[in-house]
Amino acid sequence: MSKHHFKEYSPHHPDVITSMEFERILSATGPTGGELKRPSDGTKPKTIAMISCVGSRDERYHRYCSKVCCMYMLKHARILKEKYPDIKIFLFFIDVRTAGKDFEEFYVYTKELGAKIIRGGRVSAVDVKPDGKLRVRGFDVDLCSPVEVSVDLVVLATAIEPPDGVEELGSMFTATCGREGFLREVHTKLYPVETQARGVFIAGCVQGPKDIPESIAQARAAAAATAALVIPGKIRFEAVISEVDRDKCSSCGVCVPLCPYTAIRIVEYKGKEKAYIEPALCAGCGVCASACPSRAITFHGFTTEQIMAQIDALTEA
Amino acid sequence: MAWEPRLIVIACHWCTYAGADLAGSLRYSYPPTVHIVRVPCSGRVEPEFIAEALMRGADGVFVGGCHFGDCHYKEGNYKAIRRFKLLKKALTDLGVEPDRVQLEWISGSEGKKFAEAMTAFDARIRELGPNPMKGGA
Ligand code: FES
Repeated sequence: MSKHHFKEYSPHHPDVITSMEFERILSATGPTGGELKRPSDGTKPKTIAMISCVGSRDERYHRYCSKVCCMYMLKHARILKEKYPDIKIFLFFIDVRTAGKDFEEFYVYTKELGAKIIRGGRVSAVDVKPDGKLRVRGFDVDLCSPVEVSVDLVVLATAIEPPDGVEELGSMFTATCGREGFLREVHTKLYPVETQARGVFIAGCVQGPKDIPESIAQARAAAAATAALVIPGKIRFEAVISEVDRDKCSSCGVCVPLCPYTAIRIVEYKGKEKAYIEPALCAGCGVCASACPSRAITFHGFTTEQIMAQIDALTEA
Repeated sequence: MAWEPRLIVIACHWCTYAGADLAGSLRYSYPPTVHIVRVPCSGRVEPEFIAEALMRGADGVFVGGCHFGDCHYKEGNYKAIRRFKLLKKALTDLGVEPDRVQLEWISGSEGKKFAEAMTAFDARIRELGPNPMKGGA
């Protein structure tokens, strides 16, 4: 997210930057060659404040947690403290979320290096003082009182957002987005990389905010799932799918838009246009079979005859 | 012998059928007048199924599907409700009480709701009395 959404944090000020920008400043290949310089005047800041959950866990923007910010804020603090032990760092958190292997240890170590952690709600404002310093106002639950610090540089950990156009991208292959705008997996636990579209898999932040190890694990799972489909050289169809009897088909085309999987096409058969169901795409819902006015579609496993026979048996006096 | 209603429940495999299963495992009781036919999705239900059941003398037909947004096949339940509305109209025109048929969304976790819906449906049909088409048609 861009910092300009957050008017309360003086986004116009050049020394209020996002974590992404800060990451570049810290990078050896970045604009400063890895030297810590603040954007406004190129001097080395002596005090830095970092603010978490900017746009995340916030009803005005995104309700979800961006998941990676707590950890990269600690990472930034740690890099700074190891390189420049005299720098003062204030980390403002709503709460610190360090769930993950070795993450808590990382947190404890960063604290030991001397980074100051301030927990307790959202930072209310960042404003520019007459002497040019940036004033950060927040609340510290441990002190049970409001706190105020003056710093040379403010870093905003802005939210991870789904990229523009992901909805359109998804609709190209009938994968759907969840409420937050990320592509949706079929099942959180059982099918974490598959989408509604068979053969389309997702990995990484397109599915929701996540860190590098998680993205890699998901990417490998997606690669394996893809390979499992491709390597045999053949596709196994479900047995419970629909099939068109093309001699009965009257070519009305009612079924084509009904199919949620775009499995039905009109193709030429014996010189006429007839419906054809692609067996690899059909998921077996039976909507087409129920709608066909010519009863030309057989839904294997749940044929009209089978269901009628059940109804007949159950209504037998 | 006193009249006992005969109810046909057409249940979506992914939700209502699972709900019925759950009702059983949680030991909720529901009337023995209920007879379940399993379909993969409420979108598979042809109005003809319901009409056939009524014509063959079923006193009530209940269709159960997934809640909106939960259909395993994305939107079968939307198609079901469209067809169902038309069918209700047709039944009214034919002189059948439209209350003899009901469409309801019951998820696989709503065992209790399933049992309650069945009990209520049974009670409603008892109020309506035997299907007038029974023995006729
Ligand atoms: S799968 Fe239950 S209504 Fe479609």
